[in-house]
Amino acid sequence: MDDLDGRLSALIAEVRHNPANSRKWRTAMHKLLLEIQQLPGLKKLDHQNYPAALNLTLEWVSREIAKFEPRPPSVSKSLVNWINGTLRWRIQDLYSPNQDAPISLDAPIAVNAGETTRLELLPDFTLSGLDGMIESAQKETTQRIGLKLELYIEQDPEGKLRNSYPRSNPECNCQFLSKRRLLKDPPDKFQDLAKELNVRYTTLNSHWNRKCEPSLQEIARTLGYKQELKP
Amino acid sequence: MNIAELPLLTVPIELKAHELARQLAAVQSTVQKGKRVYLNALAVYAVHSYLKWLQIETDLNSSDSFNSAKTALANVADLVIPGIGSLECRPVLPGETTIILPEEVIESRIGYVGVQFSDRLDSVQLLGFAPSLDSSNPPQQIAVAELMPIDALIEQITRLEEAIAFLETDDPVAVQVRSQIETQSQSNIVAQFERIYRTCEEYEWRYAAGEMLAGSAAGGEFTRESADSADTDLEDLAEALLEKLAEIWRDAA
Repeated sequence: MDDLDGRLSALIAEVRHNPANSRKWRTAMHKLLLEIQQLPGLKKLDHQNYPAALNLTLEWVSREIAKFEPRPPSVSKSLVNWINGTLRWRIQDLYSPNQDAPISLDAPIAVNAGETTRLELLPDFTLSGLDGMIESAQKETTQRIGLKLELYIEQDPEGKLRNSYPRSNPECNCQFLSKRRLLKDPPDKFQDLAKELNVRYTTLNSHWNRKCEPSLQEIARTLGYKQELKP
Repeated sequence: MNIAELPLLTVPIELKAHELARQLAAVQSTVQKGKRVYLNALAVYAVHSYLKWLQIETDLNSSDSFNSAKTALANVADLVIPGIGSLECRPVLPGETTIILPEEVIESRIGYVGVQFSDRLDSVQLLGFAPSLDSSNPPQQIAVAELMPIDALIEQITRLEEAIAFLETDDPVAVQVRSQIETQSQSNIVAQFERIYRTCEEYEWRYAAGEMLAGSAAGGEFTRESADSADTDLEDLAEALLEKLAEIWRDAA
Protein backbone atom coordinates (compact mmCIF):
# COMPACT_ATOMS: atom_id res chain seq x y z
CA MET A 1 0.00 0.00 0.00
CA ASP A 2 1.56 3.30 -0.99
CA ASP A 3 1.34 6.56 0.94
CA LEU A 4 -1.73 7.81 -0.90
CA ASP A 5 -3.64 4.57 -0.36
CA GLY A 6 -2.64 4.58 3.30
CA ARG A 7 -3.89 8.15 3.74
CA LEU A 8 -7.16 7.45 1.93
CA SER A 9 -7.84 4.29 3.95
CA ALA A 10 -7.15 6.08 7.23
CA LEU A 11 -9.44 8.99 6.32
CA ILE A 12 -12.25 6.69 5.17
CA ALA A 13 -11.94 4.72 8.41
CA GLU A 14 -12.07 7.94 10.43
CA VAL A 15 -15.24 9.02 8.60
CA ARG A 16 -16.84 5.61 9.15
CA HIS A 17 -16.14 5.53 12.86
CA ASN A 18 -17.38 9.00 13.81
CA PRO A 19 -20.80 10.67 13.69
CA ALA A 20 -21.28 13.17 10.88
CA ASN A 21 -21.61 16.18 13.19
CA SER A 22 -18.37 15.49 15.05
CA ARG A 23 -15.14 17.43 14.78
CA LYS A 24 -13.29 14.25 13.76
CA TRP A 25 -15.75 13.34 10.99
CA ARG A 26 -15.72 16.88 9.58
CA THR A 27 -11.96 17.21 9.63
CA ALA A 28 -11.49 13.78 8.04
CA MET A 29 -14.12 14.55 5.38
CA HIS A 30 -12.42 17.85 4.60
CA LYS A 31 -9.08 16.09 4.14
CA LEU A 32 -10.65 13.29 2.14
CA LEU A 33 -12.28 15.76 -0.27
CA LEU A 34 -8.96 17.52 -0.63
CA GLU A 35 -7.29 14.19 -1.52
CA ILE A 36 -10.10 13.28 -3.91
CA GLN A 37 -9.70 16.58 -5.77
CA GLN A 38 -6.04 15.78 -6.41
CA LEU A 39 -6.71 12.23 -7.66
CA PRO A 40 -5.78 11.66 -11.29
CA GLY A 41 -8.51 10.24 -13.52
CA LEU A 42 -11.61 12.03 -12.22
CA LYS A 43 -13.96 12.46 -15.16
CA LYS A 44 -13.94 15.99 -16.55
CA LEU A 45 -16.11 17.62 -19.16
CA ASP A 46 -16.14 20.88 -21.03
CA HIS A 47 -19.75 21.74 -20.26
CA GLN A 48 -20.96 24.91 -18.63
CA ASN A 49 -22.80 23.14 -15.89
CA TYR A 50 -20.16 20.49 -15.22
CA PRO A 51 -19.57 22.27 -11.87
CA ALA A 52 -23.11 21.28 -10.82
CA ALA A 53 -22.45 17.62 -11.68
CA LEU A 54 -19.19 17.69 -9.72
CA ASN A 55 -20.79 19.46 -6.79
CA LEU A 56 -23.63 16.93 -6.54
CA THR A 57 -21.15 14.09 -6.82
CA LEU A 58 -19.05 15.39 -3.92
CA GLU A 59 -22.22 15.76 -1.82
CA TRP A 60 -22.98 12.13 -2.66
CA VAL A 61 -19.45 11.07 -1.68
CA SER A 62 -19.94 12.74 1.70
CA ARG A 63 -23.19 10.82 2.29
CA GLU A 64 -22.19 7.45 0.89
CA ILE A 65 -18.47 7.02 1.53
CA ALA A 66 -19.16 4.44 4.26
CA LYS A 67 -20.43 2.12 1.51
CA PHE A 68 -17.25 2.31 -0.55
CA GLU A 69 -15.35 -1.01 -0.82
CA PRO A 70 -11.79 -0.73 -2.09
CA ARG A 71 -10.80 -3.27 -4.77
CA PRO A 72 -7.48 -4.17 -6.37
CA PRO A 73 -5.24 -2.81 -7.72
CA SER A 74 -5.42 0.11 -5.29
CA VAL A 75 -7.65 2.15 -2.99
CA SER A 76 -7.08 5.29 -5.02
CA LYS A 77 -7.91 3.67 -8.40
CA SER A 78 -11.04 1.99 -7.10
CA LEU A 79 -12.11 5.23 -5.37
CA VAL A 80 -11.78 7.14 -8.64
CA ASN A 81 -13.83 4.48 -10.43
CA TRP A 82 -16.45 4.55 -7.70
CA ILE A 83 -16.76 8.35 -7.89
CA ASN A 84 -16.70 8.41 -11.71
CA GLY A 85 -19.61 5.95 -11.70
CA THR A 86 -21.81 8.60 -10.09
CA LEU A 87 -20.23 11.56 -11.84
CA ARG A 88 -21.12 9.93 -15.17
CA TRP A 89 -24.82 9.87 -14.18
CA ARG A 90 -24.76 13.48 -13.04
CA ILE A 91 -23.13 14.46 -16.33
CA GLN A 92 -25.80 12.58 -18.26
CA ASP A 93 -28.43 14.53 -16.34
CA LEU A 94 -26.99 17.72 -17.83
CA TYR A 95 -28.14 16.60 -21.26
CA SER A 96 -31.52 15.17 -20.39
CA PRO A 97 -34.55 17.41 -20.04
CA ASN A 98 -35.44 17.49 -16.37
CA GLN A 99 -38.65 19.08 -15.10
CA ASP A 100 -37.15 19.62 -11.67
CA ALA A 101 -34.09 21.39 -12.92
CA PRO A 102 -34.11 25.03 -11.86
CA ILE A 103 -33.18 26.16 -15.36
CA SER A 104 -33.76 24.06 -18.42
CA LEU A 105 -30.62 24.54 -20.40
CA ASP A 106 -31.70 22.66 -23.48
CA ALA A 107 -35.26 23.88 -23.85
CA PRO A 108 -35.97 26.82 -26.15
CA ILE A 109 -36.22 30.01 -24.10
CA ALA A 110 -39.45 31.21 -25.64
CA VAL A 111 -41.64 30.05 -28.47
CA ASN A 112 -40.62 32.88 -30.75
CA ALA A 113 -36.96 32.41 -29.94
CA GLY A 114 -36.91 29.46 -32.32
CA GLU A 115 -34.25 26.94 -31.52
CA THR A 116 -32.13 29.17 -29.34
CA THR A 117 -31.52 27.49 -26.02
CA ARG A 118 -30.19 28.99 -22.85
CA LEU A 119 -27.06 26.91 -23.24
CA GLU A 120 -26.16 28.76 -26.43
CA LEU A 121 -26.92 32.15 -24.99
CA LEU A 122 -24.97 31.70 -21.79
CA PRO A 123 -21.98 33.98 -21.67
CA ASP A 124 -18.60 32.62 -20.72
CA PHE A 125 -18.28 33.28 -17.05
CA THR A 126 -15.03 35.14 -16.60
CA LEU A 127 -13.95 37.89 -14.26
CA SER A 128 -12.89 40.03 -17.21
CA GLY A 129 -16.27 39.56 -18.89
CA LEU A 130 -18.28 40.32 -15.78
CA ASP A 131 -18.68 44.09 -16.28
CA GLY A 132 -20.22 43.61 -19.71
CA MET A 133 -22.51 40.86 -18.54
CA ILE A 134 -23.76 42.86 -15.54
CA GLU A 135 -24.21 45.97 -17.66
CA SER A 136 -26.51 44.16 -20.05
CA ALA A 137 -28.35 42.43 -17.20
CA GLN A 138 -28.96 45.85 -15.64
CA LYS A 139 -30.18 47.30 -18.95
CA GLU A 140 -32.73 44.49 -19.24
CA THR A 141 -33.97 45.10 -15.72
CA THR A 142 -36.72 47.63 -15.23
CA GLN A 143 -37.04 47.03 -11.48
CA ARG A 144 -33.67 48.45 -10.46
CA ILE A 145 -34.07 48.70 -6.75
CA GLY A 146 -30.61 50.25 -6.41
CA LEU A 147 -31.46 53.17 -8.71
CA LYS A 148 -34.86 53.75 -7.18
CA LEU A 149 -33.38 53.67 -3.71
CA GLU A 150 -30.68 56.18 -4.60
CA LEU A 151 -33.23 58.52 -6.13
CA TYR A 152 -35.39 58.17 -3.03
CA ILE A 153 -32.46 59.00 -0.75
CA GLU A 154 -31.65 62.11 -2.82
CA GLN A 155 -35.24 63.35 -2.84
CA ASP A 156 -36.60 61.92 0.41
CA PRO A 157 -40.09 62.93 -0.78
CA GLU A 158 -41.85 62.39 2.55
CA GLY A 159 -39.01 63.65 4.71
CA LYS A 160 -38.83 60.23 6.43
CA LEU A 161 -35.04 60.18 6.34
CA ARG A 162 -34.40 63.89 6.95
CA ASN A 163 -36.61 63.94 10.01
CA SER A 164 -35.03 60.96 11.72
CA TYR A 165 -32.14 61.99 13.96
CA PRO A 166 -30.87 61.44 17.49
CA ARG A 167 -32.20 64.01 19.97
CA SER A 168 -30.67 67.48 19.47
CA ASN A 169 -28.56 66.40 16.49
CA PRO A 170 -30.74 67.21 13.46
CA GLU A 171 -27.75 67.29 11.13
CA CYS A 172 -27.02 63.65 11.99
CA ASN A 173 -30.15 62.56 10.13
CA CYS A 174 -30.77 59.44 8.08
CA GLN A 175 -30.77 61.28 4.75
CA PHE A 176 -27.34 62.78 5.42
CA LEU A 177 -25.97 59.46 6.68
CA SER A 178 -27.47 57.51 3.76
CA LYS A 179 -25.91 59.91 1.26
CA ARG A 180 -22.50 59.46 2.83
CA ARG A 181 -22.84 55.71 3.33
CA LEU A 182 -24.75 54.58 0.26
CA LEU A 183 -24.31 57.21 -2.43
CA LYS A 184 -20.58 57.57 -1.89
CA ASP A 185 -18.16 54.93 -3.05
CA PRO A 186 -16.22 54.05 -1.00
CA PRO A 187 -18.57 55.06 1.80
CA ASP A 188 -17.44 57.45 4.55
CA LYS A 189 -16.52 55.77 7.81
CA PHE A 190 -18.84 56.15 10.79
CA GLN A 191 -15.87 57.31 12.87
CA ASP A 192 -15.13 60.16 10.41
CA LEU A 193 -18.80 61.11 10.10
CA ALA A 194 -19.09 61.28 13.90
CA LYS A 195 -16.09 63.61 14.04
CA GLU A 196 -17.44 65.79 11.23
CA LEU A 197 -20.84 66.15 12.90
CA ASN A 198 -19.38 66.40 16.39
CA VAL A 199 -21.58 63.54 17.56
CA ARG A 200 -20.51 60.56 19.66
CA TYR A 201 -19.63 57.54 17.53
CA THR A 202 -21.94 55.25 19.50
CA THR A 203 -24.84 57.70 19.13
CA LEU A 204 -24.36 57.86 15.37
CA ASN A 205 -23.79 54.14 15.00
CA SER A 206 -26.81 53.11 16.99
CA HIS A 207 -29.02 55.67 15.22
CA TRP A 208 -27.91 54.17 11.90
CA ASN A 209 -28.48 50.59 13.03
CA ARG A 210 -31.74 51.13 14.89
CA LYS A 211 -33.44 53.80 12.78
CA CYS A 212 -31.85 54.42 9.38
CA GLU A 213 -31.25 50.83 8.28
CA PRO A 214 -34.76 49.61 9.16
CA SER A 215 -36.27 52.69 7.42
CA LEU A 216 -34.22 52.07 4.31
CA GLN A 217 -35.22 48.43 4.26
CA GLU A 218 -38.86 49.41 4.61
CA ILE A 219 -38.47 51.93 1.79
CA ALA A 220 -36.79 49.29 -0.37
CA ARG A 221 -39.71 46.97 0.30
CA THR A 222 -42.27 49.56 -0.74
CA LEU A 223 -40.22 50.33 -3.84
CA GLY A 224 -40.94 46.78 -4.82
CA TYR A 225 -37.96 44.57 -4.32
CA LYS A 226 -38.66 40.86 -4.33
CA GLN A 227 -37.87 39.02 -1.13
CA GLU A 228 -37.22 35.74 -2.87
CA LEU A 229 -34.97 35.18 -5.81
CA LYS A 230 -36.30 33.11 -8.64
CA PRO A 231 -33.73 30.67 -9.91
CA MET B 1 0.00 29.68 10.90
CA ASN B 2 0.85 29.92 7.25
CA ILE B 3 -1.45 28.68 4.55
CA ALA B 4 0.92 29.29 1.65
CA GLU B 5 2.11 25.71 1.25
CA LEU B 6 -1.10 23.80 1.82
CA PRO B 7 -3.16 22.56 -1.13
CA LEU B 8 -6.46 24.44 -1.29
CA LEU B 9 -9.91 22.99 -1.64
CA THR B 10 -11.62 23.88 -4.93
CA VAL B 11 -15.34 24.50 -5.02
CA PRO B 12 -17.11 24.28 -8.40
CA ILE B 13 -19.55 27.12 -9.10
CA GLU B 14 -22.69 25.90 -10.78
CA LEU B 15 -24.94 27.82 -13.17
CA LYS B 16 -27.61 28.21 -10.52
CA ALA B 17 -25.21 30.29 -8.44
CA HIS B 18 -24.45 32.50 -11.45
CA GLU B 19 -28.14 32.91 -12.15
CA LEU B 20 -28.87 33.99 -8.54
CA ALA B 21 -25.86 36.33 -8.56
CA ARG B 22 -26.97 37.83 -11.88
CA GLN B 23 -30.45 38.56 -10.50
CA LEU B 24 -28.95 40.32 -7.50
CA ALA B 25 -26.49 42.30 -9.62
CA ALA B 26 -29.10 43.28 -12.22
CA VAL B 27 -31.07 45.44 -9.76
CA GLN B 28 -28.09 47.43 -8.45
CA SER B 29 -27.58 51.06 -9.43
CA THR B 30 -24.16 50.76 -11.08
CA VAL B 31 -22.04 48.12 -12.78
CA GLN B 32 -19.47 48.50 -10.02
CA LYS B 33 -22.02 47.76 -7.30
CA GLY B 34 -23.46 44.97 -9.41
CA LYS B 35 -20.03 43.38 -9.69
CA ARG B 36 -19.46 43.61 -5.95
CA VAL B 37 -22.84 41.99 -5.27
CA TYR B 38 -22.22 39.30 -7.93
CA LEU B 39 -18.83 38.26 -6.56
CA ASN B 40 -20.04 38.37 -2.95
CA ALA B 41 -22.92 36.07 -3.91
CA LEU B 42 -20.60 33.58 -5.64
CA ALA B 43 -18.24 33.55 -2.64
CA VAL B 44 -21.13 32.91 -0.27
CA TYR B 45 -22.60 30.23 -2.55
CA ALA B 46 -19.23 28.45 -2.70
CA VAL B 47 -18.92 28.30 1.09
CA HIS B 48 -22.55 27.10 1.23
CA SER B 49 -21.64 24.26 -1.20
CA TYR B 50 -18.55 23.38 0.83
CA LEU B 51 -20.50 23.25 4.10
CA LYS B 52 -23.06 21.04 2.37
CA TRP B 53 -20.27 18.56 1.62
CA LEU B 54 -19.56 18.60 5.36
CA GLN B 55 -23.29 18.19 6.07
CA ILE B 56 -23.42 21.52 7.88
CA GLU B 57 -26.72 23.25 7.22
CA THR B 58 -26.78 26.84 5.96
CA ASP B 59 -29.59 29.22 5.03
CA LEU B 60 -29.00 31.30 1.91
CA ASN B 61 -32.51 32.77 2.01
CA SER B 62 -31.94 34.35 5.42
CA SER B 63 -28.52 35.68 4.44
CA ASP B 64 -28.35 39.43 3.72
CA SER B 65 -26.01 38.70 0.79
CA PHE B 66 -28.91 37.02 -1.04
CA ASN B 67 -31.42 39.78 -0.33
CA SER B 68 -31.55 42.37 -3.10
CA ALA B 69 -32.49 45.27 -0.80
CA LYS B 70 -29.84 44.46 1.79
CA THR B 71 -27.15 44.11 -0.87
CA ALA B 72 -28.13 47.52 -2.25
CA LEU B 73 -27.66 48.92 1.25
CA ALA B 74 -24.40 47.34 2.35
CA ASN B 75 -21.34 45.46 1.16
CA VAL B 76 -22.22 42.14 2.77
CA ALA B 77 -21.18 38.57 2.00
CA ASP B 78 -22.73 36.75 4.92
CA LEU B 79 -23.87 33.14 5.13
CA VAL B 80 -26.27 32.19 7.90
CA ILE B 81 -25.59 28.95 9.76
CA PRO B 82 -28.89 28.41 11.59
CA GLY B 83 -28.60 28.54 15.37
CA ILE B 84 -24.89 29.32 15.20
CA GLY B 85 -24.42 32.70 13.55
CA SER B 86 -23.24 34.38 10.36
CA LEU B 87 -20.07 33.65 8.48
CA GLU B 88 -18.59 36.35 6.23
CA CYS B 89 -17.30 34.96 2.89
CA ARG B 90 -15.09 37.60 1.26
CA PRO B 91 -13.97 37.34 -2.38
CA VAL B 92 -10.23 37.70 -3.02
CA LEU B 93 -9.49 38.66 -6.63
CA PRO B 94 -6.32 37.72 -8.55
CA GLY B 95 -3.40 39.79 -7.28
CA GLU B 96 -5.08 40.82 -4.04
CA THR B 97 -3.19 39.95 -0.86
CA THR B 98 -5.58 41.34 1.73
CA ILE B 99 -9.22 40.90 2.59
CA ILE B 100 -10.91 44.23 3.11
CA LEU B 101 -13.51 44.20 5.85
CA PRO B 102 -16.17 46.87 5.34
CA GLU B 103 -17.44 48.43 8.57
CA GLU B 104 -20.81 46.78 8.25
CA VAL B 105 -19.43 43.23 8.46
CA ILE B 106 -17.21 43.54 11.53
CA GLU B 107 -19.87 43.01 14.15
CA SER B 108 -22.01 39.93 14.51
CA ARG B 109 -19.88 37.55 12.47
CA ILE B 110 -18.50 34.29 13.81
CA GLY B 111 -15.59 34.53 11.39
CA TYR B 112 -14.30 35.32 7.93
CA VAL B 113 -13.56 32.99 5.01
CA GLY B 114 -11.27 34.14 2.19
CA VAL B 115 -12.46 32.90 -1.22
CA GLN B 116 -9.93 33.04 -4.07
CA PHE B 117 -11.21 33.91 -7.52
CA SER B 118 -9.40 33.50 -10.83
CA ASP B 119 -10.48 34.81 -14.21
CA ARG B 120 -12.57 31.73 -14.91
CA LEU B 121 -15.64 31.84 -12.72
CA ASP B 122 -16.48 28.12 -12.88
CA SER B 123 -14.69 27.41 -9.60
CA VAL B 124 -13.08 29.13 -6.61
CA GLN B 125 -10.65 28.05 -3.93
CA LEU B 126 -11.12 28.31 -0.19
CA LEU B 127 -8.08 30.25 1.02
CA GLY B 128 -8.55 30.08 4.75
CA PHE B 129 -10.35 31.34 7.79
CA ALA B 130 -10.06 34.00 10.47
CA PRO B 131 -12.24 33.70 13.57
CA SER B 132 -14.33 36.63 14.86
CA LEU B 133 -12.61 39.82 15.86
CA ASP B 134 -12.87 42.13 18.81
CA SER B 135 -15.53 44.58 17.66
CA SER B 136 -14.26 47.38 19.91
CA ASN B 137 -11.00 47.61 17.99
CA PRO B 138 -11.52 45.83 14.69
CA PRO B 139 -8.90 45.68 11.95
CA GLN B 140 -10.06 47.01 8.57
CA GLN B 141 -8.40 44.23 6.67
CA ILE B 142 -6.87 40.79 7.11
CA ALA B 143 -3.76 39.73 5.18
CA VAL B 144 -4.36 36.55 3.20
CA ALA B 145 -1.03 35.27 4.52
CA GLU B 146 -2.39 35.51 8.07
CA LEU B 147 -5.44 33.34 7.46
CA MET B 148 -5.59 30.00 9.22
CA PRO B 149 -6.19 26.82 7.22
CA ILE B 150 -9.85 26.21 6.46
CA ASP B 151 -9.90 23.40 9.09
CA ALA B 152 -10.05 26.21 11.64
CA LEU B 153 -13.54 26.98 10.35
CA ILE B 154 -14.62 23.44 11.22
CA GLU B 155 -13.16 23.90 14.70
CA GLN B 156 -14.99 27.21 15.16
CA ILE B 157 -18.40 25.91 14.05
CA THR B 158 -18.03 22.76 16.15
CA ARG B 159 -17.05 24.76 19.25
CA LEU B 160 -20.04 27.05 18.94
CA GLU B 161 -22.36 24.06 18.44
CA GLU B 162 -20.94 22.39 21.55
CA ALA B 163 -21.36 25.55 23.62
CA ILE B 164 -24.95 26.06 22.47
CA ALA B 165 -25.69 22.40 23.24
CA PHE B 166 -24.23 22.92 26.72
CA LEU B 167 -26.41 25.99 27.31
CA GLU B 168 -29.46 23.81 26.64
CA THR B 169 -28.56 21.25 29.34
CA ASP B 170 -29.76 21.06 32.95
CA ASP B 171 -26.33 21.96 34.30
CA PRO B 172 -26.94 24.61 37.02
CA VAL B 173 -24.61 27.07 35.26
CA ALA B 174 -26.51 26.62 31.99
CA VAL B 175 -29.85 27.07 33.73
CA GLN B 176 -28.69 30.25 35.42
CA VAL B 177 -27.25 31.70 32.22
CA ARG B 178 -30.49 30.97 30.40
CA SER B 179 -32.46 32.87 33.02
CA GLN B 180 -30.13 35.86 32.73
CA ILE B 181 -30.07 36.32 28.98
CA GLU B 182 -32.72 36.68 26.38
CA THR B 183 -33.16 33.54 24.32
CA GLN B 184 -32.48 35.07 20.94
CA SER B 185 -29.02 36.20 21.97
CA GLN B 186 -27.80 32.73 23.00
CA SER B 187 -25.75 32.16 19.86
CA ASN B 188 -24.35 35.67 20.18
CA ILE B 189 -23.32 35.09 23.83
CA VAL B 190 -21.67 31.82 22.86
CA ALA B 191 -19.76 33.45 20.00
CA GLN B 192 -18.45 36.16 22.33
CA PHE B 193 -17.46 33.69 25.03
CA GLU B 194 -15.59 31.68 22.41
CA ARG B 195 -13.73 34.82 21.35
CA ILE B 196 -12.78 35.62 24.96
CA TYR B 197 -11.62 32.01 25.43
CA ARG B 198 -9.52 32.23 22.28
CA THR B 199 -8.07 35.73 22.60
CA CYS B 200 -7.84 36.57 26.32
CA GLU B 201 -5.48 35.32 29.03
CA GLU B 202 -7.18 33.16 31.64
CA TYR B 203 -6.86 35.85 34.35
CA GLU B 204 -8.84 38.26 32.13
CA TRP B 205 -11.78 35.88 31.63
CA ARG B 206 -13.74 36.87 34.71
CA TYR B 207 -13.81 40.55 33.92
CA ALA B 208 -14.18 40.31 30.13
CA ALA B 209 -16.91 37.68 30.22
CA GLY B 210 -18.68 39.35 33.16
CA GLU B 211 -18.80 42.66 31.34
CA MET B 212 -20.10 40.93 28.22
CA LEU B 213 -22.81 39.12 30.15
CA ALA B 214 -23.80 42.35 31.93
CA GLY B 215 -24.34 43.93 28.52
CA SER B 216 -26.64 41.10 27.43
CA ALA B 217 -28.50 40.49 30.68
CA ALA B 218 -32.24 40.88 30.40
CA GLY B 219 -31.51 43.62 32.93
CA GLY B 220 -32.93 46.93 33.89
CA GLU B 221 -34.00 45.54 37.25
CA PHE B 222 -30.82 46.50 39.08
CA THR B 223 -30.82 49.70 41.09
CA ARG B 224 -27.67 51.75 41.38
CA GLU B 225 -27.13 50.53 44.96
CA SER B 226 -27.37 46.89 43.98
CA ALA B 227 -25.35 47.33 40.77
CA ASP B 228 -22.02 46.42 42.33
CA SER B 229 -23.21 43.19 43.86
CA ALA B 230 -25.12 42.39 40.66
CA ASP B 231 -21.90 42.87 38.70
CA THR B 232 -20.11 40.49 41.03
CA ASP B 233 -22.87 37.92 40.62
CA LEU B 234 -22.68 38.20 36.85
CA GLU B 235 -18.90 37.91 36.93
CA ASP B 236 -19.24 34.76 39.03
CA LEU B 237 -21.69 33.34 36.54
CA ALA B 238 -19.62 34.37 33.53
CA GLU B 239 -16.52 32.82 35.01
CA ALA B 240 -18.38 29.60 35.81
CA LEU B 241 -19.73 29.39 32.26
CA LEU B 242 -16.38 30.08 30.65
CA GLU B 243 -14.74 27.41 32.82
CA LYS B 244 -17.39 24.89 31.77
CA LEU B 245 -16.95 25.74 28.10
CA ALA B 246 -13.16 25.68 28.37
CA GLU B 247 -13.48 22.18 29.81
CA ILE B 248 -15.63 21.03 26.88
CA TRP B 249 -13.36 22.61 24.29
CA ARG B 250 -10.13 21.38 25.87
CA ASP B 251 -11.44 17.82 26.10
CA ALA B 252 -12.41 17.87 22.46
CA ALA B 253 -9.14 19.31 21.19
